[in-house]
Amino acid sequence: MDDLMKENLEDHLEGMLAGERQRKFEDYLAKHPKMADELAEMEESSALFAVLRLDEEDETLAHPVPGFYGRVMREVEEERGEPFWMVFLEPFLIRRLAFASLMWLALLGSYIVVAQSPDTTDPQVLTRILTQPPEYQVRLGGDLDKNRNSMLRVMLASK
Amino acid sequence: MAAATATLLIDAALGARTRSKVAYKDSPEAEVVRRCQAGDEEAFRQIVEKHQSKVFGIIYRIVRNRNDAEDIAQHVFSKIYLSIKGFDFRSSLITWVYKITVNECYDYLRKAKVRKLVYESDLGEDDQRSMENSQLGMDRRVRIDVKTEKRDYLMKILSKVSEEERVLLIQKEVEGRTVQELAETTGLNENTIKVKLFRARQKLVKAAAKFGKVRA
Repeated sequence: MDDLMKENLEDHLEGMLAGERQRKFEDYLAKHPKMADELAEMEESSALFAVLRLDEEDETLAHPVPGFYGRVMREVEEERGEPFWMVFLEPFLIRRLAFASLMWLALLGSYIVVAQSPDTTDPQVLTRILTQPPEYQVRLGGDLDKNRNSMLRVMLASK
Repeated sequence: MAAATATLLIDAALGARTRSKVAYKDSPEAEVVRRCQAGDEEAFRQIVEKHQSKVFGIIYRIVRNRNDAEDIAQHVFSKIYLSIKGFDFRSSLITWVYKITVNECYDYLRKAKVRKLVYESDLGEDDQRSMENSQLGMDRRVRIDVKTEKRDYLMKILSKVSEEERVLLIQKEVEGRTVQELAETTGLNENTIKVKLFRARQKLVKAAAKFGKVRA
């Protein structure tokens, strides 16, 4: 039944709906209160356009002053004369360029991070990591005092 | 039976669309456009002279400032001159011109908003207070503010519909064009125009619900 609304809405808003069509339209609205509410809001938003209509006083001002074509052609000439790189200064282009650069940086950064971290799925790399000597070697021997001193030195160094 | 009726309706719709498209392509204005596309400046002059009042009128309705309207209108026509080779005759020239015009107005309003913010931040505290306190200035300002607020609100909710729907709504509501006239200028059939307007109005209602009501 939405079709009935679509078909008659514009005529209704213009106040041109009459006779049988109007009766059908009103019956439909009576049966569909949700649609009636939506129609009321549509009427409200339609009324807002009045702010763009001109009164008589404004009507006389709504025309360009003589010589308009000449001024247009001057502007065309100016725009033609602009160097090609001026297009890069357009704000929308700058925004796009900045976004593309950031995306590119993010991609490059993540690539570098991935490329530099060791591949732990490779068995050779895993073996190398496991067999690597620890950073601090504790040399232990038969002398307990020396062992204790050696241990203390390593602990201090690791702090 | 229903399928056959639907097919007939679609054929009729397509037929109407094709007919009007062909009709526009063969119209005297289309010939002028083709000359303009070929670089004929006299043809461009004809286009400017034919549409300048309409374009200026719609801009003036939106920006309410003659000097600014003049600048925007000049910019619209210089844009038309520089991009007319891309015009593909799918709609009439005026529909295409309207799209450019409304977009330029939006661009202006966006820039004007930024300019206003910069101007207000440049005013000293005393200047701002004296502006607010002058009674005459205040009355006038309230009236202008309400009107401007309404216009800004309308433009804001209009920004939530597509470019095509916006142009249709402005032509219908402001210029008072009928559905039939819109069908002729766009090359679409009347039912399509009605559906597009219905959807556009639904979007306006949704946008109004989102932004809240404007003060009366």
